[in-house]
Amino acid sequence: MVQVCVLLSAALLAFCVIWFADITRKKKGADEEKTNNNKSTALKVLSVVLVAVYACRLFTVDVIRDVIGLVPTEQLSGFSPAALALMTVLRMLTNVAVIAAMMAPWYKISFAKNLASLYVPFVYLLNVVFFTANVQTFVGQDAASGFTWRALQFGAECALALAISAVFLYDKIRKRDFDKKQILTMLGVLLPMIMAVLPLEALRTLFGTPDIVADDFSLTHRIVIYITFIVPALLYLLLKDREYGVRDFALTYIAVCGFVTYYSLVGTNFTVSNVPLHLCHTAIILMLLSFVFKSKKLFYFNYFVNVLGALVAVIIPDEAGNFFNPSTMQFWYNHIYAVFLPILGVALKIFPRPNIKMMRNSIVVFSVYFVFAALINTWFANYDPNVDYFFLRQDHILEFFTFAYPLKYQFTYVWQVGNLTFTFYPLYWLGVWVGFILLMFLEWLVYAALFRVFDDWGLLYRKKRMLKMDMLGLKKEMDGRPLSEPLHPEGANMIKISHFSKKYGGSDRFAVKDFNLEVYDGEVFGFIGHNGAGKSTTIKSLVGIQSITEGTMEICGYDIEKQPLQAKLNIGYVSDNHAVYEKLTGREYINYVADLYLVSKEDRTRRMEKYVGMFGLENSIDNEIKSYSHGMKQKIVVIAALIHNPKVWVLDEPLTGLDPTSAYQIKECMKEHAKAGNIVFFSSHVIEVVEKICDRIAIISHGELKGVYDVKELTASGKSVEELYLGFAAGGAGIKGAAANV
Amino acid sequence: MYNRIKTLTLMQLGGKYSFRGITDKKKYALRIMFRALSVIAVIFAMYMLLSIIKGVIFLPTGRTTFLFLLFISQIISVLACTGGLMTALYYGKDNPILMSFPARHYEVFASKLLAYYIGELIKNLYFVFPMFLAFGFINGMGALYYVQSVILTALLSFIPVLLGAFLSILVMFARQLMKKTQWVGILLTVAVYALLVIAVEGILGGLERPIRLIEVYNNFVQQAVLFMQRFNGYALIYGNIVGAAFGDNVAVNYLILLGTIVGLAAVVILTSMPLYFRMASYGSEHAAVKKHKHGKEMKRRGIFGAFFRKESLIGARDINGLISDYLLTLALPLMLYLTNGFYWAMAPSVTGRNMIICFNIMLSLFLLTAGNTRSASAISSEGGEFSLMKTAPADTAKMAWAKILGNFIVSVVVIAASMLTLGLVENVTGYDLWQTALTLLLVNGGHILWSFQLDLRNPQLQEYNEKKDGAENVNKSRALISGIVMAVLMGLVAVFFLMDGGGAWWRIIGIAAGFFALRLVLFVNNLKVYFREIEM
Repeated sequence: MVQVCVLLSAALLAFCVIWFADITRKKKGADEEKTNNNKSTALKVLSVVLVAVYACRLFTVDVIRDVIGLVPTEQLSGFSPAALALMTVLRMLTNVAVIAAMMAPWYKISFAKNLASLYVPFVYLLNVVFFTANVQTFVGQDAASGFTWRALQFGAECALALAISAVFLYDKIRKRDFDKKQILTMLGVLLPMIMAVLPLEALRTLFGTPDIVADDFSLTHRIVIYITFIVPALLYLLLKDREYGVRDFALTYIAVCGFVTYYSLVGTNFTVSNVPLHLCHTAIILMLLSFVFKSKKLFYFNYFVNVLGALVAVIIPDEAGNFFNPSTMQFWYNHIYAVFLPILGVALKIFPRPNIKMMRNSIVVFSVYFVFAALINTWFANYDPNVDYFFLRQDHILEFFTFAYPLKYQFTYVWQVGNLTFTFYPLYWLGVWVGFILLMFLEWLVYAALFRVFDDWGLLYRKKRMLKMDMLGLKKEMDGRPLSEPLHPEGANMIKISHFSKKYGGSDRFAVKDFNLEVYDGEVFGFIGHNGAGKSTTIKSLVGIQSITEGTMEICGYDIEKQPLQAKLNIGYVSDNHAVYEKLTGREYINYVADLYLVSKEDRTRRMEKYVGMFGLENSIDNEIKSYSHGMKQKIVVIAALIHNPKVWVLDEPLTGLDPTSAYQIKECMKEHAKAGNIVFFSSHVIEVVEKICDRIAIISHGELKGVYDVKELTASGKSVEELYLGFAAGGAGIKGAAANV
Repeated sequence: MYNRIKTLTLMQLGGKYSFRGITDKKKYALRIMFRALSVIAVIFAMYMLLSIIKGVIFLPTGRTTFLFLLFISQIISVLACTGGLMTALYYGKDNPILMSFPARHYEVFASKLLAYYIGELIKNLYFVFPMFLAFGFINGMGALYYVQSVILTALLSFIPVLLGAFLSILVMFARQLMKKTQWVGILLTVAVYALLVIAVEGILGGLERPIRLIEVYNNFVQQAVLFMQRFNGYALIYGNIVGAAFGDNVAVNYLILLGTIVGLAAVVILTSMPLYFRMASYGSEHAAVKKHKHGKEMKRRGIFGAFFRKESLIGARDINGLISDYLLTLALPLMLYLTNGFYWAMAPSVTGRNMIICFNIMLSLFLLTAGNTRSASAISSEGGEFSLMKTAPADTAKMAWAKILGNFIVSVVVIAASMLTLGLVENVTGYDLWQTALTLLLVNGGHILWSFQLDLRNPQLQEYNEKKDGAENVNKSRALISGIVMAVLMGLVAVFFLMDGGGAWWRIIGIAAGFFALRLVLFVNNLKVYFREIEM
């Protein structure tokens, strides 16, 4: 009779929702979205009612919790062990179903819809079938006869859950939305979902109390510690790439599970020493509220205050009872959730990474909580000597910090008000408060370090992938040719710079913008411009010291970014800072560079003898470079740059600070190198030198190439490089009549 | 003159403490409040520490202990000031600017001392002042004591600054001498090491065995007090300071204190004035010409060989730099010998033995990882020369392995020497030497890679290019901190598993190997990705 009522009520409720949302609106021509909104609102209302009805069950007696090892109690004497096992398993399934029915209307993800439309009806129909047995397991066989209050409560719960699931099922059938993969996923996830909200008495009911104690790093305790770390890691890996709704659903589900497992035991056993004011008990409530209402203040209180306390409780447990005992199970569930839910909340981006303001808020909330807990302790201790919220009254904390005993007992103040005694430990409390705040800051540092590590690893992974992609891109561009060949063989005898732009990190301004240039073999090419014009930037990118923001640079057909080794093998570079290893001798330095440029023993010996003789360094080549003058260092760098006889010789301000003889020697060397069919590309401020030895010049100003000029043509037309340069340097357009071939 | 000194001092303080940055009164008040709270927290912590000394260790916390701790702290302060002032006075970044101002050199000198004094005073507000107050609280001193605490803290701060200024001149001379002639440094190090060995042998030889700490505890306390009293005999001016604080001959003690400060100031000014400018402007142009003819043959090497040879040559020509970088690491065998001499003289139980292993791992890693700062500046120290790494047509990332190999070889030698030394300790039988060595090798190996990676990710090429040996590198501090953290963690891991029983070493070595593997994987990947991204 009751079962029929339940089914009829469910059907009626479901019909009402569908009718309210679907039929009436369609008649009035409302669109699908509006219809869905109405349906969603109706379902949410039903889910809120279901929450209230389920809360009545959660906070009341459930006599199946007294069964141990399937031995029927006096209240359930008519139940066989098999029936008790069946009811226990059904209770396990129901826990998931009721939470799914409560949550599904609030989420638009298919996983929630599948749960509500397929799993919930299955479980609640079973509950309806075993309705009488269910009610008997709540209140005992004798008390369960007839139409009792508990039957009414459970009937309402079944009806509401079935109504919600019926609406979801109706939608599913109407849209023919039966994706096998999604359904299989749902079935696969069910077991962990059941474990997440396992009725605390379930294991004891089924298996009795085997001798398993999780204390002092025993195997069980170690397993619990491993679970505390492995489960969140797995959840993170499984959920990190899922859509926000799925991540939010998963964590909110766990938060609800924490609340349900906590109150399924405490709910029937309230005393003054059992108010949820212990930090981790408070955490369970706050976590539910923070995930359901997305309250940042409550969430970060958990994040900064609770995680640490709960972690300590997991590692140094305060509970050494039999593992299958409900209160022990509650201890572990409570603390494990309090450790990992806040961390996952941030890791899975349900809540943003905290800033110092959130930390400050947490300290304020914690301080209020702390004062409240201390005062409640002093008051409630009058009624129950076991009251000890946050361990502020008894000596749990002092057992670890024995030196602080005097702090508590030498500064104790007792205040008598009527029959009530209020005991205060101000210094001890202050000490605990300060200690905890310090630990919060320590936690902040640990979080910050972890964020940095994870970000870093993420970036590293992405960059590695980019490198692989670049290599694949190059292979594709080479179209089967060996990678050691030039990417563009037609440019084998030239430097080619195309649309080169460079921006330094963090700057919005381009140091060089859209620079194009071609330099051919046999040329001495001068590159001039004012200080900060972009000469060194261009040169540094050309030789591979700096990255290229936009465009390409090719040396003898090799792209400097895509084929850096091959391109560099063709370059000899003299930097503007003539930095050399000062503790090496000149010979050792040149030999070292020759090693890097893969020069044969014969070639390096021959070339070194030639250049050492040319620059007159015979007497100083075996001295440590730190004793060299500026000019000598520059000569050593020049020899090192030419030791592999490069096709392209790039020099950045090579003549700065040199005496006339040294400058002359280097200029001669440049001319000779170009004469041999190579390219000499150099930047300089010395206009006379540029004019004298260059075949062509390029002028750069404020990061832009102003023009490329043939020096002979320029001279023939009666213009000097100096006039030209000064024209640009003054911010003008050079001089009239100077034909540029940009 | 006074105005110039004042201006110069304020300039330096402005750069150091940036007072002008705060315009918001609320922020200013918050900062002051935060600092005041910090001082209160330090006072609280010191009071707790003294309570522990009094209530748990049963040592007296009266005048003798106060003088002893103050004297010790001031010796450390003098040493710190000597180093700090050497940098500030002679290697200061602001020297070229300050010297170019229209002020006399001794005015610059005086302004530098004043700026340093302000810094020392602020430091003392967080340490000496709380110490005064904590001792006052625990000894139930009167109001006058607390008033004097403020005055004495201010006066006390002069002494280490003035002494440091004087000593820095001597240290500078020694340093320049060592720079000129390498063998002086080597000889000095060997001599100090030999003296330490003799001292350690003497201490260990004089121990009565077995040491029963609990049985001899009362004796220990008496001896400790006696030691403090003897040590306090050398406290000189600090005895007067404590005397004044505790109300003995207040006027006389203050006069002696003021006289000492004035006298020290006079000595410093008289000795420094003629030397300061010359020493501050001492440049690197004094480099002597050194010829090396043995490398005349232009032999061809592979890339790694080229890097390794270059590193070896530079290392061999900078022995003082090597010693300075590996000073703590080289002290490991001696430190292990000394500490284990004590430990094993106590005839430890099984738990004690496990604790010894844990302490040994911790101490060894502290000292070994301290030497890895060389890897933490491996790329930065290339300075401008790094351009060659960017332009060479080779896998120049291999230079990392050449640099790491040098660091690794030193640590392997030191670990081997340490284990051999440990084997020499009397009564050390059945100690798990090779397991300890393997653990140290793996964790330190991982830390070397980590240290290098720190520099790889944040190279200070520009800084080294400009300042060479005087460059500051944050990566070194980071490597030091990570080394300390690793040492503590590995010590805890070791004690956790050793207490747990069977198979402990396999688990410890497993964790060490895991750490090494993780660091190796991360290092290889970081090297692959970030070496090419270093820009100059």
